This record gives sequence, C-alpha cells and structure tokens, in this order.
Amino acid sequence: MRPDYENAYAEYRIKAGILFLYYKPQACLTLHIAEQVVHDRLALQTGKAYPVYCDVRTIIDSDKEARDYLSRMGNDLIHALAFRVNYPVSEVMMQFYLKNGTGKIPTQLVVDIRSAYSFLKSYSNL
Amino acid sequence: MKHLNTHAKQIKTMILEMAKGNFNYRIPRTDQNSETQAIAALLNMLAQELEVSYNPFVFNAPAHSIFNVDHYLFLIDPQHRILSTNFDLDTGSPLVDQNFAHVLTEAAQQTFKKRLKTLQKQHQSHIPCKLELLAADDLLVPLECTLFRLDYDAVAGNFLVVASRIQSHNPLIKEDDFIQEDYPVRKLEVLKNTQDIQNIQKVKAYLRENPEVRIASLKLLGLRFGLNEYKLKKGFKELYQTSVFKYQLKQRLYKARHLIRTTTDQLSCIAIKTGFKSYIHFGQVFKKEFGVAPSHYRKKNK
Repeated sequence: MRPDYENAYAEYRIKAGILFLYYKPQACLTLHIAEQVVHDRLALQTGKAYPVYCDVRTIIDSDKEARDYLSRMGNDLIHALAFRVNYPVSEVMMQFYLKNGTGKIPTQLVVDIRSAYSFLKSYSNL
Repeated sequence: MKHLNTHAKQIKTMILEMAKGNFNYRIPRTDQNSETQAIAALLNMLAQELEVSYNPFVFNAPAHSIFNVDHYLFLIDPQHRILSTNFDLDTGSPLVDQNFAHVLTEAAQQTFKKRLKTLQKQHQSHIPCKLELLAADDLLVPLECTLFRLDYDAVAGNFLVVASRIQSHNPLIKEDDFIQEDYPVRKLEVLKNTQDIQNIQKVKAYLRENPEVRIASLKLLGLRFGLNEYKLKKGFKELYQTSVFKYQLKQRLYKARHLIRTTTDQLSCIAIKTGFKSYIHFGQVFKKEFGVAPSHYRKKNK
C-alpha cells in the first residue's frame, strides 16, 4: 500500500483514525533524523491528534540526543503509542527508551499488528 | 563460539571501563537480531546516559547545556600519517607515525576519505564530520570532528583533525523535567501550522533551560521565537494546558528544590539563583507546590 507521505527516513499512513509510522532501515537514529520524522508527522497531522503505530524494528542503533529529543518533543498530538518491536534487540532498546516515559501518553510495545489495533482502536475516535 | 567470545570480551571491557567512570567507549553494533546485540545496544545506551549524568554536582540544569569540552588534535601529513596527537586511549601503542586510518573504524575511514575529498575539491579551509575512533578491544569512541587543510608554508599540504567530546548536563531526575500534559489533546485552533507548533516547542525548551530568566513581556518573548503575543499566549496553553508563566514558575521551583537537596547554598541565595524576587515569595510558592517550606524540605532531605 502506498504511504500518504514519506521522507528519507520514514513512511506515514493514516488509516481508520490511526497514524502508521514506519521507520526505514537506520544504522543509527540521529537527532537530525528524529527531528525530520517529528516535523513531517506534525505537518501531516495538520493539528489533529491521532493514536500512533510506530514500527521501530528497522532501527539498529540510536543517539542519546535523538532519544532525548523524541521523549521531550516527539509526543505532541499523540493520543496513544504502540511501538512495533522484535525480540530481543528492538524490544530491549524500546524498554530502555521508555524508562523515561512518554508523558501521560498510554504506550505499549507490540509484536504484531493485531495487538496494536486492539490497543489503539479505543483512542481512534477521540 | 569465537564470535561470542569476542563479544563477551568487549562487554566485559566496557563494563570495567564504566566502573572506572569512563563512559566514552561503545561496542560496535551490527544488524544481527541476537541476545548479544541486545546487550550491546543496552550497554551503549546506558553509557550514553551515564556519560552526561555522572556528575556528583548535577542539578536540574538544561538538557543540552554544555559543561565540558575535550579537544583531541591529530596533525597528519598528506599520506595521512599521524605527525602529532594528544589522543591516547590505552591502545598500547603510540599513535604517532601510524596512519590515521588505523585509528578509525571501517565506516569512519570511508567518511574521512569522502570528507577529505570534498575539502580539497571545494577549496574550503575546514569541514565538519562525525568519526568513530577505535580504542582498546575494538570498542569505539564516536567524536564530532573538524578537518582543517593547512596552507601555511611550514606545514603546507598537511591536515589537522580536531575531534571534540562534548559533555552536557542531563539530570536523570525526570519527574522534575517537564510538566505532564493532560491527554487526550484537543484539535488545535490557534496553532495553524507546524512552524507555529515548533516555535512553541522552542519557547518551552527555552523556559526549561533558563527558568531563572525574567520574562519582560510575552510580546518580547514571542518576538524572539517568531510568534506574536496572542499566538504565544493561546498557543502555549493550547499545546501544554498551562500558561507560559505557570510553566516557568514550575521549572524555577523544580530547580530550586534540586539545589536545596544537592547543595548547601543558603535558601535566600537559591531563591535569587532561580529567579525569585524575594525569599518570602519563594517560600510561599514552594510550600504551595510541595506542601513544605524550603527549610523543612532541606531538613527532611539531609
């Protein structure tokens, strides 16, 4: 399925009131990439908040600056977050990232799309 | 098995270095989805966190304020042989006379060659790049670098590489760090575009990093970030469900609380340092926020 929008680092799709964000393979998620991904997400949302499915399985490594930026600035206009992960690498990386929390946004790590749907659908009509 | 042993050796070295307070090393990563890679990812991230927060005098400082900068210099000849350097990471062998490529990872060698080519092609005096240097036991040290082309007679044709390690404050006291927003958020009415949202985010970051600064007026603050007074006032509230002044007050109180807990500064000094006009006012708002007077808070946390 064609994405609604894509840049060099991610693809975005809005379907059934959920924003799907797929990171493209990244050797290292840097601050520049994080800023670009957040900027384009906000541009696509045009002021409307969504529950977000975020596929991070392709991220191999990340900078602290990027993680700090995402935990501070990356959660605006998000109702709920489902991170799609793989055991063990991306799962453990996300567990580490989430130790600082994402504010009050309900967040879950999921290993399949069905779990993500069932978690996010209740937030899609807010 | 050999592969596992190599990883185990790197992991042990990394932990021992971290135990010594050295958080500069990183374990090389691959795209393999294995338990050892998961451990390597965790250790690298932990080292990054500790690198910026392992400081006994840490307080609720700005997330990105720089408190220490180390510079490493490499003077290299046209064949990239190291003529002089102050870089030493216990690799066991002196770096002088070695080829600069020997201290770089394979990826960094490629980056270095490319950047050098660009430097020569574009006739620039210097060019920035990020290089990963090799240290003992094949661990990595990622550094921000600048490559200089030297054109002075005595050293013409040589290059200077300046690699910098910048440490910044990043207190791990996350509960102090930001105001929790009340979700779910509503559709934005005042902030019409991404630029506006980003400008408001910049204001928030500025206030978090400079809570003690006096805001002369919302109009002036807005001008600094490309927002008019109305957009700043209403937009900030819309995005963060609090006003600019309330947000700044909270940041001041968090910083003051941390200073009370971690320093022996006089409370009146802390009040001034964190931007309060008087100790009396500080005492009142502190008690309102945390339920105890600053002096009691200090006694409790001794």
